[in-house]
Amino acid sequence: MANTSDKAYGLTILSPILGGVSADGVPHDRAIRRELIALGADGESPFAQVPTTHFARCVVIDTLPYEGIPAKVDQLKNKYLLFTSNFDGELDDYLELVRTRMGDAVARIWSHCHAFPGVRDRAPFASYMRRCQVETSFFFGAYTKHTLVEVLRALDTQRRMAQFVAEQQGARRAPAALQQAFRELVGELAGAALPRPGTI
Amino acid sequence: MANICGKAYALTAFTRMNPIKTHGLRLVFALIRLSMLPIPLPKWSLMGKIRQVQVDLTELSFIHFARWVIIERGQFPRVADEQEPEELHYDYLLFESNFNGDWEKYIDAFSQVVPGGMDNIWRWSVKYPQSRPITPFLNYIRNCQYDTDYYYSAYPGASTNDVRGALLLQEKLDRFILASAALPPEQFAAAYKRFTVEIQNCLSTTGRQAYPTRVAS
Repeated sequence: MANTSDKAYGLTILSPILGGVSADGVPHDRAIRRELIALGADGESPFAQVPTTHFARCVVIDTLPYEGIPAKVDQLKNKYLLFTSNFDGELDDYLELVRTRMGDAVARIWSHCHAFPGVRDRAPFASYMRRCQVETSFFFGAYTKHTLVEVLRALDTQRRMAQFVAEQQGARRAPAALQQAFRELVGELAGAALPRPGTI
Repeated sequence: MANICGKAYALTAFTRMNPIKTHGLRLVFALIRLSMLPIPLPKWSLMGKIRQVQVDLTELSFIHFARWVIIERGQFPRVADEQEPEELHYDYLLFESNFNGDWEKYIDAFSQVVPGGMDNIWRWSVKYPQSRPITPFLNYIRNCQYDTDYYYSAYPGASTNDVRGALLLQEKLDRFILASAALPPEQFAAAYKRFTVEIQNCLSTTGRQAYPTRVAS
């Protein structure tokens, strides 16, 4: 299946944006952009609450490219919200995490899109997202055999190990002391909490 | 700038294709997927060359994730009766990439390392200029690129090589912990020294790149 590569899934969603203006009197595409600007970044991002998301993006598609004559101009009748995500696991599980963990943000953004059913019920939400999904033709990743949990754990280990190696180089400890220090590092790694997504 | 999140850059580009040519691109993607099957392929064969493009892409080692999506002209989602149907002349190819480094270096590396592979994917797009020489190629991508309105990375301070190094380190460290657990101190110290040499390329430093700040006056 072209949407997947090993453990990773490449989700591509195109949601048609409502025409006209929102209750605030601004066009719906601009209202979406305002909502997106107001979202937190990194560890404060609502996507950080969905612990399988590696990368995600939202782009308002308001026009299509034109390369000049003799090509014909294609004019969109609707504007679209492009949402893409690279995550671990199955689509249904992911959509449910999105609905339950970042439902408020999703509702604020997608309320400006045609036929959005809201985030209260699982089935209509998943069904809407699937209707807006476009099949990925080719999906590629550099470390798709590893989940986000594995990546975050490894990055944390890397940071602690780099610090340990640098400290030991300067300390020039006796073998027994070096071994004891290494055992303490191993204990520290085993007990360390997983870093929160968006914080490394 | 929303195209950037820490060390990652979000490239989003739409190019368009004459619908007849879309079949050619579908065949290319089918061949790429076939070449990924775990079967031996001679390097000189067509499938071997296609597989090599993917090896080259991986070895570029600055792409976290990338995708190509063919959106046929009748495939733009229509979810409500009151939504006007699209009437388009062309099919579209969406390219989306999450990479580290700056935009021009990325496109330049594509052009230098996998020119044939990239040309086979984009040659079906209207007025595609080929990936070499680089200037028309850069101009073409610029014209087709969309700025990102919101971009999220779960590890903004890590480049692709940081992640790959960290995963390799974790694997080696797990093995070393087991192998060295029962060693006496002298032997442990020698093994630890060998281990640090072995993992030195995995010990990159993660962290945010600083944005330019105002110079204090």
